[in-house]
Amino acid sequence: MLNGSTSYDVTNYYEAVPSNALERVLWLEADRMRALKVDDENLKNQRDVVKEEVRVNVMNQPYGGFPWLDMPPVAFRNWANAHNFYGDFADLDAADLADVQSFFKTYYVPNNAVLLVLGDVKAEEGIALAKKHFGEIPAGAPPPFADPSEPEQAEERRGNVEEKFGRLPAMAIGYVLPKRRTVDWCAMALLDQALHGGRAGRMHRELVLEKQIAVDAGGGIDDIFGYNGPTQMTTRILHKPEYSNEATLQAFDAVIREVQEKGISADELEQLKVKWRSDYFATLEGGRGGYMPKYGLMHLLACFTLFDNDPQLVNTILDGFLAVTREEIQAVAKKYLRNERRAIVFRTPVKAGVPADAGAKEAA
Amino acid sequence: MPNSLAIIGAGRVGRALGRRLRELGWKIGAVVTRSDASARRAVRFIGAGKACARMTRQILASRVILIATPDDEIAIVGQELARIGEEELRGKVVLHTSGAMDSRVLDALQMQGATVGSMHPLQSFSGVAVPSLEGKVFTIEGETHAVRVARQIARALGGSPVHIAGSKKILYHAAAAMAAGHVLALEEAAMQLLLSLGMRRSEAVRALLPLTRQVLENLETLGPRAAWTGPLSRGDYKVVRAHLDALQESPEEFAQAYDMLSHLAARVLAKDAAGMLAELEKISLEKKPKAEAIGGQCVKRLQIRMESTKLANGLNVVVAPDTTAPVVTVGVYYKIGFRLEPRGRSGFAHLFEHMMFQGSANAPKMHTSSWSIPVAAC
Repeated sequence: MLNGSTSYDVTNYYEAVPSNALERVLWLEADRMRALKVDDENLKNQRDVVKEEVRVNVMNQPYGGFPWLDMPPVAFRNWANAHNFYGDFADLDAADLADVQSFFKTYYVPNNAVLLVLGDVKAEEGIALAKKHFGEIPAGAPPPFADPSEPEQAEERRGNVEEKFGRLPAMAIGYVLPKRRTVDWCAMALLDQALHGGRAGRMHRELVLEKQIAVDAGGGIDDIFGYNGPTQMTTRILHKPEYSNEATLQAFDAVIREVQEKGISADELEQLKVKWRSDYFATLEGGRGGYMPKYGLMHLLACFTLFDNDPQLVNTILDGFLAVTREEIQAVAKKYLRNERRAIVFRTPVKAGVPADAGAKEAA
Repeated sequence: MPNSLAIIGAGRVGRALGRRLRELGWKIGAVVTRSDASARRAVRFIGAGKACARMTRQILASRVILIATPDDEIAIVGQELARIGEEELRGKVVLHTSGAMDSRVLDALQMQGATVGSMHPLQSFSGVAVPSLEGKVFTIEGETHAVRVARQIARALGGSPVHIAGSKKILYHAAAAMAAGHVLALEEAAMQLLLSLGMRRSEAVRALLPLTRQVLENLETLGPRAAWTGPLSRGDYKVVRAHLDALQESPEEFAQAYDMLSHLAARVLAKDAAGMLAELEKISLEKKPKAEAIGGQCVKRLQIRMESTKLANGLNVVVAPDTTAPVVTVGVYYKIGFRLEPRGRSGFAHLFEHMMFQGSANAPKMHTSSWSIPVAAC
């Protein structure tokens, strides 16, 4: 099993093998950290592969790229956070071999990376093998770090994207998260659980089950530990066409207002903590793409090393979340879930899904 | 010949006892070890005896048979001896020298009419060739006649025989382990703390050994309570707490041992054991990895083991061992993603990720994915 993936602040390459193949894999990873051997033909080929990925996953997919590609340009002003991450085709076409080699030289240096070895290996043996295979790779200049900070937001931001295939209108509402590893950040994570914790979450309960405005309402903070720059808690709502965007948004706002005004009960907080903790353990145990043992633990160890310089956080980070109080949750709801801190993207179907004779309804 | 002895298993204990008894006029018969060479060496050391490389009837020529093999082999040796000795064992005395086992392990010999017992000299035999046994305790148990013979041997060697019940022998052995190996571990741990402060070993030895010796002497002359020193003996819990804090830097066994030994000291040394234990329990709870009460249940904090380091070239390495399954996961994470891709090159971080599968200096394209096939087959 082997693969790689790119996200906002890290790119990873990983493989799971029988333990007798460990050294071979380390050799391989070291070889491609040392030098990349690519030519124009490879580049042209992979450019086409990426474009095809975009066509399949975004352009020809109902609600493709919603909201992960739709939201950033609406929510953010710093190009680092706001651009199209899958790439504009013109930009992909412009990329040449010199770009590839310079990107490699700049960022793919040992001093900008972490090697993780998990599973059937002794600690001292793992470290010795790492030294043997990676120790001789020369360090590079410290990579430049483009400042991802955003100018202060003072107004609600809205955008609209056409939906070519789906017939139901959709919207995504994103609030910028507090700074990583602060008390507010921990409280926000539990608030996220209260709002988006699956079928028990307030969004689903209110919008889908109670008011029956939406057919789906969920989302939340994705991979909370995997970011090292501005990110959002995003609610996705797919609603019935007979409810207008504004009516749906009003129902959404009512859920937010309730938690701001009434907070959450002691019982609910206790349940949120149990769920949060059990989700955390599930993340650690979780594989990826079928069977990738220890993917979750690997991912957290890598992020805590690269962003916080402390892999041991994997053992202690829960403490902050379990210490959150009801007051702190209500306080972050008031402080961060404000209209002037949010961005909304409407995904509007080109083909209307409402039968001609059905009139628009107002939210109950 | 009343005082004749055969020895089976001539390690340190067997050889030392053989030599001392020979000096005291005992007649040494068969000396049985695993090989001719080691048997001859043992006989040379003892100064008498007949070297044998296997169990032989010559053993039966002596009145007393001493089994000084490792514990695991005592029962096997007993059975073998019963098989070759049969009737001739009647009237023989068979003693083994294990500290942990009692004489029941020699049942097979008893059934043939031998009297069986055990005799354990409470003395470390490592380091010196023939330790002085003068005044040392010999712990003895077994059948009446065997106990009588063992007592006679112990006295002859200048030792002091003490009789215990066979069924309690293992507990006796645990006590000995605590007084020897565990005291050593504790002393060495204290040494290592001083070494970690930059002291040389010779300095650490000079600092700590006299302290320990003095306390042990005081124990002998003044008794346990009067010999007790240190913050806990004064009920100074603040210092105990500070000690535990300071020990958090060391491997976890240090603080754990300190904590458990404080409890033990309270139990065996304090006048008001219950009161002191209650105070110590409060401190242990504070120091334990944070446990959170959720839903009325106490939850232990995660303890995923890992080692991490940074190589000279700046590469971070994290190893998290878990031998549950013969599978190892390797990952390399680069601190570069969408956010940092150059302007005018949107999508480049991801495109580049694809390029990383296109071949490296020594591994041509597709090698990276095709190698998994032969590996999977092995």
